[in-house]
Amino acid sequence: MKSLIAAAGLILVANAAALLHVAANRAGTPEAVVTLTEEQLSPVTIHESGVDLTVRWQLSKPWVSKADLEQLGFDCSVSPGTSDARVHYRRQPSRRGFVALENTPGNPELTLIAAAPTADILREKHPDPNRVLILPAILTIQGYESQLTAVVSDLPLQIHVPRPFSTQLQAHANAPYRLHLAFGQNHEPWVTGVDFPTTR
Amino acid sequence: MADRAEAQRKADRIRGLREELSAPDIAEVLQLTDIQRERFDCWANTSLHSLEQQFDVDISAVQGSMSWGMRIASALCGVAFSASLVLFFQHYWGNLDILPQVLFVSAAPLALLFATEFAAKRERTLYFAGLLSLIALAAFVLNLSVLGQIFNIAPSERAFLAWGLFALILAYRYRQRIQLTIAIILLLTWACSALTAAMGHHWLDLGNRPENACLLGVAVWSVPFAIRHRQNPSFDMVYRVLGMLAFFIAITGLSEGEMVSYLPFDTNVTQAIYEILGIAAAAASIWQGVRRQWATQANLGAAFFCFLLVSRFYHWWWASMPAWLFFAIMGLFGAGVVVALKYMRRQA
Repeated sequence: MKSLIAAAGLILVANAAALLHVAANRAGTPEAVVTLTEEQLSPVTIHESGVDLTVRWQLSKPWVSKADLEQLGFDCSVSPGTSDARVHYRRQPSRRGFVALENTPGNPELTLIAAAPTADILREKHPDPNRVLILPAILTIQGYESQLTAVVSDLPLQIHVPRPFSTQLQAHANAPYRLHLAFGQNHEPWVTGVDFPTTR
Repeated sequence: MADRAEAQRKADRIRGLREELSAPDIAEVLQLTDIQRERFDCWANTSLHSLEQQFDVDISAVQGSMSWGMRIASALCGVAFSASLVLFFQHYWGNLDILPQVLFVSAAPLALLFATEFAAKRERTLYFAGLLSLIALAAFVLNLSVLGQIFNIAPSERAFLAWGLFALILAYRYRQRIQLTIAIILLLTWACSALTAAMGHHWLDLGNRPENACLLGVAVWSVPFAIRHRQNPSFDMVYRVLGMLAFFIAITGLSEGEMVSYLPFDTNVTQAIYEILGIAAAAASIWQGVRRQWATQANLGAAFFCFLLVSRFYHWWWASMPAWLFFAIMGLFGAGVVVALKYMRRQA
């Protein structure tokens, strides 16, 4: 009977932990609040399980310096472009860090502008929470071309749109829309609203 | 008698003894009287009937074959029902608000867990309990995945710990080897990811640090030395096989690929070290497998021993000798392995 209680308890604890994580993310003032247009989001994918959107983003070149990469924990001692560089940088595992994405009005994609090991460093440099998103990311160093850079992956920019917003998007298929997003204490997003401007 | 497996072994021994006694040469040697034969048949039938009543064991070869069929069918059923559950939920959850979604996915694994318990109480063979436990695990995986998707939670390795522990509890409670296999794979994934994340890397880069998997493989292989499975003797083999697979797959990656290693040497030196270590470990596992009569370990060790040695030969000789000579040496090597294994078999 003990193991049955343990199995049931495990389900309850895991669910409670996930929901507490969500509550902690959404507690207090959001870390960032942005409004994105349909141009900055992938086309609405309506499937059986609801609506999912992906935020479009791009790199600004060069977007990260050697000092930034060293601060992230990469070993940048080998000069890029040399014969040893390919193996030296390829063998370095990815690092967890944070990146800043700028939402410039009129720009169809958010622009990657900086990286740092903590969110606080980036928020200090880019204090506008309505213009710059600070997000966790995986950074992989690349150094076999003429300069050092980092490839960014695993940005939490896939947004699940819950009801009632998903039904509004489905009802206004192909119409221009604006999606209001909040990013919480854990930098995880949620949809706070959708509107459909008649004129732009 | 502790469990069904032991009861099955006893039933097999009685069946074997009855078959031997009815063989003409044995009958001629023993010269049993009709009364003795009747008493033996009576004892054998009573014992088998009692074991069948108590443990639902197979008391004939046909029943044994059908049991295997039932095991396979129940595993396939479990997979099919799990897929059905996931697809059913995906089909309808877009029509639900967040609260019903959360309630449904949280309640599903709990309901299936209690259904498993209900089935286990009513069936000694545990076919339906095993099937339901697989669906309960699938529901729990769906549960945490859906919560992550609904609330845009960043994926993390911690989910593997929860799923692994759940599968482990189900495996021991309902004596399910398939659940134990899933549990060990999930827990190994979690441990490798957690170690990778603790070193400041992305948890999904777990494959970049194969040495972690090597050490964890040894730990898994050692579990039967620390925990005695009197109720589930077949669990020892599951731990040993999965531990060996984790260890040797990681060693193969280190010796053949350009993996990141903790060793402070050049790639070539690191690869050579791990190749030699792998060959030595494979030889040791064959030796131990033969000595302790762990056939699966001996066979798995032999497979990796051949693979690692052939790979070493390839690195040494493929470029420097004609292909026909290389394959002739491989053939001789294969013959040598057969002779060595035959010798070890005789000694065992």
